[in-house]
Amino acid sequence: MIRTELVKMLRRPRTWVSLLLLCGLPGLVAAFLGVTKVAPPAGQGPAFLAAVLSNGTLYPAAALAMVLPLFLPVSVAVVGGDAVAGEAGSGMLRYLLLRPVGRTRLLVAKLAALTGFVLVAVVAVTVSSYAVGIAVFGAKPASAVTGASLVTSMSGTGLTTPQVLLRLACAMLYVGVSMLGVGAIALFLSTVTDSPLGAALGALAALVTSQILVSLDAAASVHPYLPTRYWLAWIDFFRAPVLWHDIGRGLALQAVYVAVFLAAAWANFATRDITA
Amino acid sequence: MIATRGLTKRYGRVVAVRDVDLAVGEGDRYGLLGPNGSGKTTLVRMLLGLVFATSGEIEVMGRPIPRRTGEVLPRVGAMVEGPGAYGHLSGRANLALLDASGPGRGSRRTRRRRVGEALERVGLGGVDDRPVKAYSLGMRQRLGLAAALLHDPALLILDEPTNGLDPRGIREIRDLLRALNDDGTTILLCSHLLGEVEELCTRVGVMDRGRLVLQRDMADLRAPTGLVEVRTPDAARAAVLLDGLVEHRDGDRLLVKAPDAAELNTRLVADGMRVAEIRPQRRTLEEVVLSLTGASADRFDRPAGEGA
Amino acid sequence: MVVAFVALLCATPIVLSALPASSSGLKPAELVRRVLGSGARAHEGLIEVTGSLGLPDLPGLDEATGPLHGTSRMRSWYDGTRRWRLAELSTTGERDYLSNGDSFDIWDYEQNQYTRIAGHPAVRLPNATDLTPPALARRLLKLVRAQDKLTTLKPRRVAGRSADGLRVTAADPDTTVGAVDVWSDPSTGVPLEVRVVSRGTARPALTTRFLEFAPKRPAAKDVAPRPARGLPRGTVDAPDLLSRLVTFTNLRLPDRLTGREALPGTASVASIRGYAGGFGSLAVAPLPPRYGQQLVGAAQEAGAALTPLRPPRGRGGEYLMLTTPLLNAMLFHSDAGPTFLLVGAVRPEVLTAAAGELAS
Repeated sequence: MIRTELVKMLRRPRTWVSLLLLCGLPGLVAAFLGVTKVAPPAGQGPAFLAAVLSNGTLYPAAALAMVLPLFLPVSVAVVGGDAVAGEAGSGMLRYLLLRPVGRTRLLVAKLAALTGFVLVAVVAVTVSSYAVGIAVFGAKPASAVTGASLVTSMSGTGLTTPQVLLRLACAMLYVGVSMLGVGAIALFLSTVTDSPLGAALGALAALVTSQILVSLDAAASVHPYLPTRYWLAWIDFFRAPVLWHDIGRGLALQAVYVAVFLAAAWANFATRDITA
Repeated sequence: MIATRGLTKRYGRVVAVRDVDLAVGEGDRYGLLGPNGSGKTTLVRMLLGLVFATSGEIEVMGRPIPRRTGEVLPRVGAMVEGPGAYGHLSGRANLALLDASGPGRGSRRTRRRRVGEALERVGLGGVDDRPVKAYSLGMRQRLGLAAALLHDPALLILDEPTNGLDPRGIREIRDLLRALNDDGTTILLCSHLLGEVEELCTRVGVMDRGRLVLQRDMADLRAPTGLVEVRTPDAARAAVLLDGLVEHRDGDRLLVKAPDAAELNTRLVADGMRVAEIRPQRRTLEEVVLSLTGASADRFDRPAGEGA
Repeated sequence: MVVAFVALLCATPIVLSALPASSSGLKPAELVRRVLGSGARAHEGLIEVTGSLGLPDLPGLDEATGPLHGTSRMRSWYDGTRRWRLAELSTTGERDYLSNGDSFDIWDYEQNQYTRIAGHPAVRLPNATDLTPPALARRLLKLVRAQDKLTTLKPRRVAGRSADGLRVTAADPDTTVGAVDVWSDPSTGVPLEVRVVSRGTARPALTTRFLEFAPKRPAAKDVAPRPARGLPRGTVDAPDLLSRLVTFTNLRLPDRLTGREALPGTASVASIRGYAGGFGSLAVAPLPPRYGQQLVGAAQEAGAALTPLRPPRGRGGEYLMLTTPLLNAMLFHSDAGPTFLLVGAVRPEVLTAAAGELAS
């Protein structure tokens, strides 16, 4: 069933278009940076962007920082919102249930497919931007006094290329996990409404609300409960030593969001009349 | 095959299905008739476990629904409210995905064969790889039927299966359903088309505003009424001759109370009257249904007293 | 069932934070003594500073005013007063202060600059290193005078550990500080959380606390990480603007201001002076004329109004008052010429009185 859902997803043209867009944005930024060599001023723009001019190895980190706030969650919300509501819209939901596919099974398969999409998306962004970064900016630090090919961590220590790749992989996985909360919200809304667009917009509304509250000091008391609170914690992989505090909390929080909204989706979907 | 007791479904204050005792026997070709909005589709959805009943019991193939839907559904083929398909995929890919989603998969080869056979049966055997969104309404309808037939169901539940088909297509589907029924498949057909049910079904149920107002064998319904219709150029004379037996006269047509049409014919001819047409009167299904059901639910008239 | 499950998940953090804390039962004066004596205790942890002192961004002073507003985070590795590292975290980089024996370095990721501070400046602007709970608590508790009231607070959990609570209520009517609350680790005396409450309010104007705390000696590679090869390096004499400025002004400030004695130690270096008054202490710095005007301009843009100061006797000037619930700052341009920056946790009237004395 999970395999079928993955196949279904991969055969949708929309999946490929969104992946293309996700990889296209960092490519576009790299093209402009590569041509003009004008780095954003320190402390502004996406994280790591200022550092990549001297070393392209870190470009995947900058690419993740670019797609994380908007592109990635939007595509996840669209795919998640489509999960059940989209089947209802095409009329296939009732035929799947009559096939028969258990409602719980269907939900789990949808979540698995969504997870697959998130993974494919972050891997695609990371790998494509790594290639782009190396091609446009090169892999050697411009300020190299010695021949060692080192990337500077945020704490000023040196990272060898294998260390950088390991940390990039961890950051990539963390960003992927960060998206699961949004995906679970979209999936839940997708079982509530029969409109895929409505479910995606609902999830995005939840996301924007969370983003605004995170930036509001007055709402500090609810910050630890907000799904986007620990989104930027992947940056902590590039500190020396790695700061695990927020990363651990971020993972736990996403797990809670997935558990809560999957349970809510299940409670709603298993008892719902399918009239579409 | 299907039995419900006191089945009721409410949506808020609206009662969609009220106290229905449906009984479909094994091997039946059951036609469920009723105007739009009479609750046919809701009833069918409840039988399939898509919609949960407010009260009452359902049993399909001897198992309670919705508690044991999972055991029943593998042997049921269904088409509810039109076919469904992913528009960007071909019909064959749609069936293959649907087939792979559920239990009873088998090897890749048997699956491909199964899909091919289902398409063949509904007359889509030679269809090309164009996406379903390029299909005509009739082709989609056939594809929906193929999906229902995919796993050799013992019970086939079809909601308006001939929607969008041309007369030849309707005929093909009817023949297909007859053949399936001859092989032992029970068929429950929902329709608002009287002719379709009249042609095909052996048993008929009529729904009106959520109630099952009639459930009888077709043969009983269409038994002779004890009247004979006669058309004769000598209608006036015949009326005099059969005084007391004529129920109704309309020009050259007479409606005569007589147990046997042949005997009446002999009597008329013996008296030198010309008989153009003579036959025992049978009620049409249309008359039965119209006499039992109220206005269509999609019609909203003003209450009588209100005036314009 | 699902509702119960969700309720359980949501309640978990609340239950965890409400775990009962135990007290070591020490007297407040003893707690103060332990906090002041904890300077050599090694520890490491993650710190969160929350301030609501909205000071305008002033050119050259943003390092000092930045952490006072909003929420910021720091990581601390502390192995005694001379060997420690403090990393100020941001979402796009970090700024590390590294003290290792005699050397003091600053690494700024965003500027991509590794700077060695040569020599020991006598005065410098406050920065993130002054806002760790231990540094702030020790600095504030040193200001406690006999008339300030000491009370114990209920023990709390800070960074998952039971912490002894202590409150100092300021007696001096001149200061804006209402109370200072310090929670410290019972075993080491290291302060884990400090809250500064301004007079007449209940909400703390400044809170600094450990989110994670471990009373252990930090690993050498964490306290003194080896900088990457090939970093752009530089050496400066003064870590910040203020310490550079004091070398450019040569104005002798009075030994007494508004009844406060000048602090010893700074007078010999330059013109900047601190005046001791417990929590009501204040600092005065004469500014070079060009920079003084620049500051006045920036403060005016931030919405401060220029007010004339006319004391009953002597000469006066014009001033700008920047007020926050806790800290007040005054830019005073005297008719005699020089511009002064006066800062303190004191009522604005104290600053105007001081300015009046400076002008005459």
